[in-house]
Amino acid sequence: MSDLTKLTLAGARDALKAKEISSVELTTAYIEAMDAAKVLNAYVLPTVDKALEMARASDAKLAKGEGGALEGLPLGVKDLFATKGVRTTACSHILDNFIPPYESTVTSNLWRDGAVMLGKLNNDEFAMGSSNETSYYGPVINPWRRKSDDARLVPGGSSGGSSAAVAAKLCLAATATDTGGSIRQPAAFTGTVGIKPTYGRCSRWGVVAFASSLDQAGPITRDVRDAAIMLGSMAGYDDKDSTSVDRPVPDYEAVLGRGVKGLRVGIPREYRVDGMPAEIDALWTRGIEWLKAAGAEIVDVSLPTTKYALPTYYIVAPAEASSNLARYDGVRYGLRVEGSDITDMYEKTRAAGFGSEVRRRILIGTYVLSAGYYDAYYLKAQKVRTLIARDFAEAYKSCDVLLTPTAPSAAFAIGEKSADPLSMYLNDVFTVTVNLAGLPGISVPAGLSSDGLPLGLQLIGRTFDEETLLRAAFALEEAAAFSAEPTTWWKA
Amino acid sequence: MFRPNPYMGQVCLADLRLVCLSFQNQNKGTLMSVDQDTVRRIARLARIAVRDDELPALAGELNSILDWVEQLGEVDTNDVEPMTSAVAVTMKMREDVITSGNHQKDVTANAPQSEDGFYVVPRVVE
Repeated sequence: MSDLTKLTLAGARDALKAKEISSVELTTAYIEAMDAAKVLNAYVLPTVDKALEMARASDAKLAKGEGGALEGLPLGVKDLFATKGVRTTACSHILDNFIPPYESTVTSNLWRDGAVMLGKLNNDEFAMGSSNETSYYGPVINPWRRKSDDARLVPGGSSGGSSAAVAAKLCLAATATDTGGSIRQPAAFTGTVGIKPTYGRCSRWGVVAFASSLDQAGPITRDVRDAAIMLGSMAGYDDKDSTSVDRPVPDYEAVLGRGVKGLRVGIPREYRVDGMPAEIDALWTRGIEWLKAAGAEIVDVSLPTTKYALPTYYIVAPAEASSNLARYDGVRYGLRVEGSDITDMYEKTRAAGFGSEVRRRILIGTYVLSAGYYDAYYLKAQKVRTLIARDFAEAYKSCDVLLTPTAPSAAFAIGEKSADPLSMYLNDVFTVTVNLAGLPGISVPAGLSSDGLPLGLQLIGRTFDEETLLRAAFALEEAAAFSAEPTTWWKA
Repeated sequence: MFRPNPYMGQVCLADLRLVCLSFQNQNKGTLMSVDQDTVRRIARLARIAVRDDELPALAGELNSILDWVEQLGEVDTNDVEPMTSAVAVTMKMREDVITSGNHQKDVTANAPQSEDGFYVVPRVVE
């Protein structure tokens, strides 16, 4: 085979099982691709020796006809997942040289099933960002370029390393996390598939915490089938995370071909926001037509509290972040800057260790949780959150999944939005509602912008109904037949 | 009163509550714009050193975000319970037994400064 990196996760799995290729060959092809794509800055720490060692172990198992569901398949890991003995920093200066003595549950599950780790992927610092520009290791460059110019574009965020690496074929698939859209928006910006499962479907143990009531792990992959395979391995109950849910993990891949005949697809009217680009609106309309043609029933639904989702999110998420990030004190791990006394040491360490977006969110969070303001901000936001969840519950009385755009625009240029936090926050307008309500959501590449950039459509499912969600996503993917790829300009 | 958020796995830095109480007396729960003194106090609560020349820009940023979230005031939340769990599930109970331990070396392995299995911090008590 000429270029092994062209295989999808499912394709590579089948080729390995049939002994047409070896894991060492496949892994070596990825190591070469990673080496040729350093300019994209997708990996913050390649783990070449470990990858080859894991690949050799997989080949030995495969030779004996053994091995798990992901045996010998090379993956990238977002730097938010603790990996035993391998530096994990959440792309923050404050976690410089942190080497976890333990493995996150999600990555443990992947290694249990035989996957190979290629390295740690870049992300926004502590996953706070929508463009991967807040990383201490610098921005990730989107492999996609506009037709009209060579401007360097963002790959979305916070899982920008994951989305860029999957789109540029620097790994078969990647782990990612999503607090307000951090899996789905980067997937939309790079022509990849990203699924955020139901809150509690994947264990959060060993994932660097941002906003614990919203954070969920999920995969970014090349197609819907690969997403089903990855999620099946990542998901599951874990007694180390009391919010993970003890229910069986279905065979997600098995449901994909079942079609959408009779499925009721809700179209939330409040998602037609002011100022949405015409081509996003047109793509959404095409998506509706595709699903209708595939036999789905289209239903108009209302989610009246949608307008308040973003402000709610920007109270809840910083509040939880400010308390989660209190642990970075210069005592137990990470950076320490000496001071005249212990308080001075804390303050200098945290001033030097946190970037400006993280600092901004800690300050907002500290403010809204402080005495006299708690009821007005945090409690109020949690009440609005109840209303947002109620909206969805009401909508699901008349439909089975919802269809919306993933993001309000295509990928933008590096530096274009970083000066204005509010315009950056608006990227998450269609995705945050899903986190606030704890629901599963998936982004599927559905078309190109007039400037040749990928655009995504989002499907939102019922709690723990990833099967229906993936089934609908598979039908949407088939209808969209998205086959465009970025030119490999970085290899020149 | 400062109330810990129900989701957090980690409480705020030790003396946050005391600083909060003194803060409360000056601002009786009315939403108002953040001035530079307030930014300095919040930064102190968050244990992040902020230079005086950074205060005006930070106050501006925080105000624009707080002005924007103020729109939640339009939503009628009378008789609405605050969300306490993203997904309706019953918390599982486990046996109250020791399942792990004796990891002193692992626990202190990443400490910037440690000695004999203890963390070393600047002198706290004179």
